[in-house]
Amino acid sequence: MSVLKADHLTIKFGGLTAVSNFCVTVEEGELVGLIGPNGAGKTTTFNMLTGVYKPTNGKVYLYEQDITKKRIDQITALGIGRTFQNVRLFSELSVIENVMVGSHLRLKSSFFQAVFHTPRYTKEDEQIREEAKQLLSEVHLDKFENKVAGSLPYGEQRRLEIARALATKPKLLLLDEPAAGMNPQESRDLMNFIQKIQNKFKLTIVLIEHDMKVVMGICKRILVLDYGVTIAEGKPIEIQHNPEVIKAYLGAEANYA
Amino acid sequence: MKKVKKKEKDYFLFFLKIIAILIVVIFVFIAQRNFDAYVIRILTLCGIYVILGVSLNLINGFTGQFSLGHAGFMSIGAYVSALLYMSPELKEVNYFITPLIWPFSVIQIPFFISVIAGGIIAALVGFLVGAPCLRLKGDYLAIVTFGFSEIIRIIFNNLQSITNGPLGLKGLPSYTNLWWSWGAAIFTIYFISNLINSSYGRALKSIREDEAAAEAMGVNLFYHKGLAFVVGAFFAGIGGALLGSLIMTIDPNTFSVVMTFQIIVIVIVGGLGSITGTVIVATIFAILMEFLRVFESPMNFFGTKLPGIPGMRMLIFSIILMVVILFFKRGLMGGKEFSLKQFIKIFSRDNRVIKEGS
Repeated sequence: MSVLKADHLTIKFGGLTAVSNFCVTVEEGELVGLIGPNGAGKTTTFNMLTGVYKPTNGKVYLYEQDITKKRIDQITALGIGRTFQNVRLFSELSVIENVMVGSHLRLKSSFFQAVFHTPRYTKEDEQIREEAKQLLSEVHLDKFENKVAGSLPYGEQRRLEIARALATKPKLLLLDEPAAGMNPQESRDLMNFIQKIQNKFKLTIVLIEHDMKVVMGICKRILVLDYGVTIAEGKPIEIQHNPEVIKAYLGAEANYA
Repeated sequence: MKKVKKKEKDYFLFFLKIIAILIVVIFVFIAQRNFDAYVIRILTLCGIYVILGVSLNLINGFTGQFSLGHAGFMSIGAYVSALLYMSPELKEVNYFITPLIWPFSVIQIPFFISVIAGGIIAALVGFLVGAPCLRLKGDYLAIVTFGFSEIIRIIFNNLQSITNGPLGLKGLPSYTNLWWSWGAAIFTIYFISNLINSSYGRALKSIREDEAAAEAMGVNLFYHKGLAFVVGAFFAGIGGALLGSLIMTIDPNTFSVVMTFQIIVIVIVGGLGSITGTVIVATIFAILMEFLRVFESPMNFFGTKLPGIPGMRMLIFSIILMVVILFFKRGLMGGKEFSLKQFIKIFSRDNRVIKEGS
């Protein structure tokens, strides 16, 4: 059973077709890369998959369930977690609170139980905190637990964002440029980190990335978008030698050079 | 080992909270018996401002939805409760132009229940108003909620057969005393601070920080914003009901936008997102409101006689507000709390025991 299936997703903003006929089927345990030049529609595609934008045409299926019309938070509850291109933490909340927000959707206690701190709620809250602590130690942020999230260094903020997405217990994780702004060493660490969490949490991952080393290093399959059109799909080695892709990245002149 | 210490700390905190509440209770007891009526009235007003400030802070400070509709919710609370606790005879005296419509003209129920009813109706209206407005953000939400509170005022001005229109309700029985106002204030603080420190509170704060990210983390924006509005409106309604019975006369213009701005000032000076800040500033505000009356009376200023200018104290408040905004951008407490935990921290020898700031 495919984890994610996008069926001819098209979105138009006024007269502009940002993404057209985007199709992909992602199987359990895959790590798929989505690349393309700036403005190709990669983040827009993510936004359609997570319900931020409703596609003009086409459908999104998660485990063969149609989620196209669902609200963003419902889609998250069904099992898609995501990070953002520009880090969007709850910067004034503490690191652990950031992660705990991710568990809120699974809270069983009612509003009044939570307000009056009934034993049931206290127990559940304790459990959420414990889970959050474990997640934080998984991403090596446990020592920052009570720090304000906004005060963390950039690399740590990126990891925290991933931890927060993991707290929603996703089956499919969408990472939007996780290596943006990282130096080569940090990128390498990130590659290992992504593979580690994928194994640990049995995740299926789709990631957008500009850092070709990262993409080629960890993705088993790559999709290339250009002007909203999927121009290539295949193994990293195929993509590297695909003339269409080279043209999209380097411009048409590359052929004559 | 650590677990045991945490338990101990919890009990100690609980103990301190009980003591704090006991101190307030004893103070209220002494005040009610010994202080003169004027002082008691100011202290009662303090409690009401605490209720209003803390409830507005839930919406504006913690959820980050800038609402200017608090006076509207208060007026609903005040009118609904007054219609329920006034005696039929009193109603007959009040409604001498247009008689009050039937069910309200005969019923009279105890003060406590009518105050709660006022809060519930305000919460209901809060939901009805909130539902369509909550798609709006920032300034737009502020304008719509401001408009709402004006609409309430105008409706109440014209619903002669229910609200007695611009004549207002006079001679309301004076039930509100220190016990009522501070009892309700303590309950408000308890309810809202517990809410803030729960999972729901984290969700509300995440909405304030970044709506898109909160939604992507599975926080249902509509539900949670609505929740903040409903809870805020409920306590605003209770505050309004208590205020009505304290000042003993209400008309639609009592709850004009000036009222909202007074509470906004309390919340902003106290610090958006700080309950303790709001409580402290609300108390100071209510006291200053009275003591600054000095500036409104005629003064002898180095031999020249200055005539008293009504409204002068509001000018002074504006200056205080500007000074606070200039020097404490985020209010006096700036989103932080003065907590018992810090209090213990200062006095405990082993600082490592307390690791979490509240």
